[in-house]
Amino acid sequence: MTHIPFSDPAWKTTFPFLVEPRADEWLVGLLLRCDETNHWGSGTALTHICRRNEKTAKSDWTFIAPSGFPFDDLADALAVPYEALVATTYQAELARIYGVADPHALLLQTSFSFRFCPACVAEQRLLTRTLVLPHITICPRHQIVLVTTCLCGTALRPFQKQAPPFRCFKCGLDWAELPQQQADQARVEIEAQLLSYYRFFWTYGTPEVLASALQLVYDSVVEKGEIRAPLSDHVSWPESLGKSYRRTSSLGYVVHLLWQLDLTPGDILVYAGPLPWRSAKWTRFQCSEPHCPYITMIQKRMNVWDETHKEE
Amino acid sequence: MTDNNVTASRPAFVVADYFLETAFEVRFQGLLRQAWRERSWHVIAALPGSGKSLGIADMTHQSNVYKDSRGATYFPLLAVRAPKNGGTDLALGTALCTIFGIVPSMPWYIRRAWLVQTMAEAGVECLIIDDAQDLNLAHLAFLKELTDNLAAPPYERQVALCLVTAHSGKVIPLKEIFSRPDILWRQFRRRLDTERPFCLVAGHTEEEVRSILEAFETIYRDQLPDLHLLRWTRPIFTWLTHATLDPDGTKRVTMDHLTRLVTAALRRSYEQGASDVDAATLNQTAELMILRRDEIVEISGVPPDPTFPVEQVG
Repeated sequence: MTHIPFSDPAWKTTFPFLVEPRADEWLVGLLLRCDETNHWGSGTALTHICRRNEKTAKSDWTFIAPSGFPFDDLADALAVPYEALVATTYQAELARIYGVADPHALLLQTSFSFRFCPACVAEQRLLTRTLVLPHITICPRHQIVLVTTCLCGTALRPFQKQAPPFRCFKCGLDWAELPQQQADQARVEIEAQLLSYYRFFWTYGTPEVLASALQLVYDSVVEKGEIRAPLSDHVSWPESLGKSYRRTSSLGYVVHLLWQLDLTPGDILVYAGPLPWRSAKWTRFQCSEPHCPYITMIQKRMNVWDETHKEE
Repeated sequence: MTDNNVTASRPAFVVADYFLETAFEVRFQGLLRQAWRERSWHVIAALPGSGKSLGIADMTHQSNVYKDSRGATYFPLLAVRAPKNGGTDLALGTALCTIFGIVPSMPWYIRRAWLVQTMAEAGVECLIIDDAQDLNLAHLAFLKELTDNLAAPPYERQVALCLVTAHSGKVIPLKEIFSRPDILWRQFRRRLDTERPFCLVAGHTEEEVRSILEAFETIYRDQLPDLHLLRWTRPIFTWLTHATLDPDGTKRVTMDHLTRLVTAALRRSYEQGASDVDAATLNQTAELMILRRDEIVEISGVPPDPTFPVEQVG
């Protein structure tokens, strides 16, 4: 616990009331707790921190891997280590898994909706970062369905100017008072499995392991002779970010495929050995055979999926 | 007792930056402590250079003020300096907000309410306004509003208020304002302590100067090993109560004058290679402070020892 006496120069550079990140807390939850502890409207701390840093890139306000977020300024204002704040996002994990210095939230999921567990909010004013993971709809701790809308029908937003933190900006209802609906047991089991994939990637994830997972997915598709989902969700860097154009699959998508194909993290590890035809660009596979039936089949299916999506 | 060889090898004279708990500070801090304890309101006046601001800063540091990362902020003794150049209540409100650390910009009507909430939650028990002679009517009205809001539900916190002012002569700033018939000032006057609403804290007597000189001897003995200041108590007291330095004829010595005289004389002696201060050096310094204090010194030519290399061009 940080203790700042009045004589400490940090006194003047910190917020009047301090908060520190809790285990698995999401950056959005931390910022809201900071606002609430300081008796400010929601988003006040965030606005202040970003105002101090003009270079802040506002391209990703999902706070999963907030590119350009002034973590150092927030670390100063809360007197907590920089690393502790980065750990409230998936920035470090995605950077390691995808082998990029500045990962984008698209690498985790292509669409995002704000959701939380009302029981976690009621008990500790806690928004966990686990709940932002794709396909997670249940709080693993309380086994309660996550909420996205208020009782008044308003889609909940984390930050709304002048609105109190942790409350519906329309009707003012405290998020802690939202109904706590018990989840279906079958769904609980599915999501436990999905979380185990995520945990695997957070622990062992590297570009090589991700490539092995994708390889395993492709091979399993071929082996089973059927495909229930497109083999890629075609994540590409937004050109506005000024990064080189690149296509890959989001982690959420890979995890979903692994679950669909009933593959385990153990299978991925077994598959992580050297493969004769792995490309340096691990999202594209170049077979040394001039007419590889395997690659041809995958390519055809990709083309079919592409055409279907174009029509849509 | 001078030695030119010693002078060359000696490091520069170091002025000790200690807070001395002088007789003035004992009196001044005692009043503040009593106000804090009894949550009473006072106007406390003392001559400029007495050590009011240092005493307030020392008390703040002693009052166990802290913030911790679990959301607890404890600030029982909140001291700010009155805004200069007048201004509205916003100026004083900003000074009070800023003392808590970084406060994001927000409309004044929100900040006003925020300040009350924050002061209550931080456990403010005593509010000290230094240089209170600079407060204007808007500031004083705001102070009353702030303390009234803290005293009202839901906070119900009685807060001590010490308006610390510099004075000259027998006139105590704010006394005249609080005597006015307007409702606001009558309310303000009613809140002031019954027994000691206006206090004037006196400077040092000769005996008190003596004990300060004793402390200086100890502090500077590592630089001037044979230092014996006590024997100069009487002349020092006489010089510092000269009409030039004590225009109100209080026959008391302020800490600022005493420190200036002693440190200037000690520095001069030290630079001459001495291990003690002599009567001549003290006399010369006192003369500078008393007789030649308004003397204009012409600065011309090149400094004798430039700290940066000068390159001749052209």
